[in-house]
Amino acid sequence: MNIQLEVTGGFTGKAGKQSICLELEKIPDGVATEIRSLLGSIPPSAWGGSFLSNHPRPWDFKQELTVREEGKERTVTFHKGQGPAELTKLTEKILECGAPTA
Amino acid sequence: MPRISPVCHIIPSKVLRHLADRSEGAQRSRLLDSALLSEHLRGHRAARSLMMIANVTGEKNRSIYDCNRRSPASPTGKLVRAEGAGDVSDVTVNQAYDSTGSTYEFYSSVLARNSIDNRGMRLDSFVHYGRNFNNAFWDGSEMVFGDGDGQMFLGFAMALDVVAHELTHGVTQYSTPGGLDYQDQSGALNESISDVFGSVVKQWKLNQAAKDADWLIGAGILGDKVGHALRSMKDPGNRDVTWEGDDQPSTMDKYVEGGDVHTNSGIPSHAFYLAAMALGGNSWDKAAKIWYQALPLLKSNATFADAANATVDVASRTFGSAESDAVKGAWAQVKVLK
Repeated sequence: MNIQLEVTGGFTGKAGKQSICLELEKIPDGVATEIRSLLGSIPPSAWGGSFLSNHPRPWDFKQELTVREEGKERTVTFHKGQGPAELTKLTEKILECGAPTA
Repeated sequence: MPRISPVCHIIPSKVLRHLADRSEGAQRSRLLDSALLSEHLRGHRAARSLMMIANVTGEKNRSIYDCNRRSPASPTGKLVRAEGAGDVSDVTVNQAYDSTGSTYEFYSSVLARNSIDNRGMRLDSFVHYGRNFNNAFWDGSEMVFGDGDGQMFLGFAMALDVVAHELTHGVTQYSTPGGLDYQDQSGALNESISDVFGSVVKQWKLNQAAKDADWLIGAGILGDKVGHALRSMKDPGNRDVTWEGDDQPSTMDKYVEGGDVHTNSGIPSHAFYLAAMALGGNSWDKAAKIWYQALPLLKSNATFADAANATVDVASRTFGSAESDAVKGAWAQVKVLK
């Protein structure tokens, strides 16, 4: 399973886009299990959705989470703190353990 | 300690204008500012909170914190340099300290503004945020600077225009009733205003006339192989002077519907450049004052046309018809006004 989180905003916008890519099979089992669990807790209806603040501020970075598994792809777009709480927890975990790739 | 005078300026705008007509220099500017604000308050209930603005005489109060490459959701760090303390061994800390100081001094001496909130707000900066963090941002109450990854970006606190850009997000937040929503045209205006004052503060520090300025945003923060700067107010979208991903339009002909705020900000930023060039002299003599005084006249969902009309109005009231025509002409060149 491949999980990609892209974070855009701040002074640089897309020029400084933060991209974190995790291959669950390549990270420690404990972390992978936790991420799978968090992923499973996200309501299915959230996927394909967009959860953006009605009145975004300069510190509202736009985040896009994409999960690829067995040829299928799911994406959700959101501002930090918007959307299901499980999404926020998962994002925090990815940011915590992911190494920047761009 | 800051000296605080609990005097609210709720004086009829006619009286303020009468007094301004008999004043000169900074005093005239302050009176005209007050007159504009007074007129604005009459028309906008949302701005009532601004009536609490007091005549505060403050002092710079800078604090620089070291995040030590951590990136918690709410920046935290060790205080490494406070107001009045001397240079430390960390160059980034000193750069953030100096640049926030220069920006504070610009707002104070040129625009008679007392810090970010016009009430002497502390200037807190967090440096060394995150690992290879390719960004800087205003988080609603403080400035946060990454170090860059050393390839795409070399750092952020080292550039005065970047620091002034972030601090200006705070000024916009406190000046425009409800702040400018960070999406669509209001978001592009929010970005543009930060670029405008980022560039103007740099020009002011260099004592550089508008015609001599480079009008680049983020010059020197990109890696050598990436480009020269992030954006150009003089020539938005010209990748020869910026970087290969620059997609900024310079006129409404190439406005990107639903586009990123950093993309469409090229249009109002170019309008400012054209206005400053038409007005001549230093960008802070007239153009910056006009843009600054227009901030309280905008609503949170302001469009480019709203900003154009506000700046034309301020130019007319503050300076005269020649300046008003110059500002109107600038917005017409970027095809926001006809």
